[in-house]
Amino acid sequence: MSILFSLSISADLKSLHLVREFLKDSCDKFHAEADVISDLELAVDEAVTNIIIHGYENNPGDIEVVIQQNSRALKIDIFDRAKSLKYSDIENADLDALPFDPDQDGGYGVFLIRKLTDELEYRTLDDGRNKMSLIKYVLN
Amino acid sequence: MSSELHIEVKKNEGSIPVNILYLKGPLDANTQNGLVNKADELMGNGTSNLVIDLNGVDYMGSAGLRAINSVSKSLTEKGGKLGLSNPSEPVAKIMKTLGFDSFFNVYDTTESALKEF
Repeated sequence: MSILFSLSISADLKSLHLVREFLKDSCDKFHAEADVISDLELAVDEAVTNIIIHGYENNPGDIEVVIQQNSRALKIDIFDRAKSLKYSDIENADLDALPFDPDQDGGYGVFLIRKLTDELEYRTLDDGRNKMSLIKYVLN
Repeated sequence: MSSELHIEVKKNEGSIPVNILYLKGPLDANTQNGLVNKADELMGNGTSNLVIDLNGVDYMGSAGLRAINSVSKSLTEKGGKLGLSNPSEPVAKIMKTLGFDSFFNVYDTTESALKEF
């Protein structure tokens, strides 16, 4: 039997805490370790924030977050119908670097998403939705 | 778990006046402007030295770090400075992950942060 949890929110920064609470509650139900939960909380919050600000550009829209687990990993899929984001440089992120630069205004979300997950995929589906998949390996 | 960031301001009456901001709640893309606005308000009233006590922050994302950086720059322009203290576990985690603590002194306690002024 496969179980998944799903949350749909409006693309509004005020909804961010709902996403984090949903993620923590779902991961608790999957008996995820605390470190795994905090990593995913950061990564998903950054991803959803990017969709709201850069994808929907603070216009109305919907975002769906789906969480499921198999024997080796937690998988989080994030769906939206916003402008596709340029995650093309995500594979090239230097994860050993410490990217903070006080003279640079932002751009840390991509680094965090990549650093805190084990696998990452971003694509646009045939139905026009964007889908970001974040995978975090778990030990069972 | 609250969705709002609460900020309590206390004035430290030392040889150099410093305002301490005690944050409670999440510091994310939604709430970060509350911190920036409060700092701007205090600077408008003549403050140029701040300590931000981060013990009550139950979540911090990169937007929170950018807000802190922005406050720091504004204080520096006024000839003052920013101290950071008492990071909660989530705060310490993102600071370490991004290397924020290479650029800012983060003190274990607010008392030790105040000694730097």
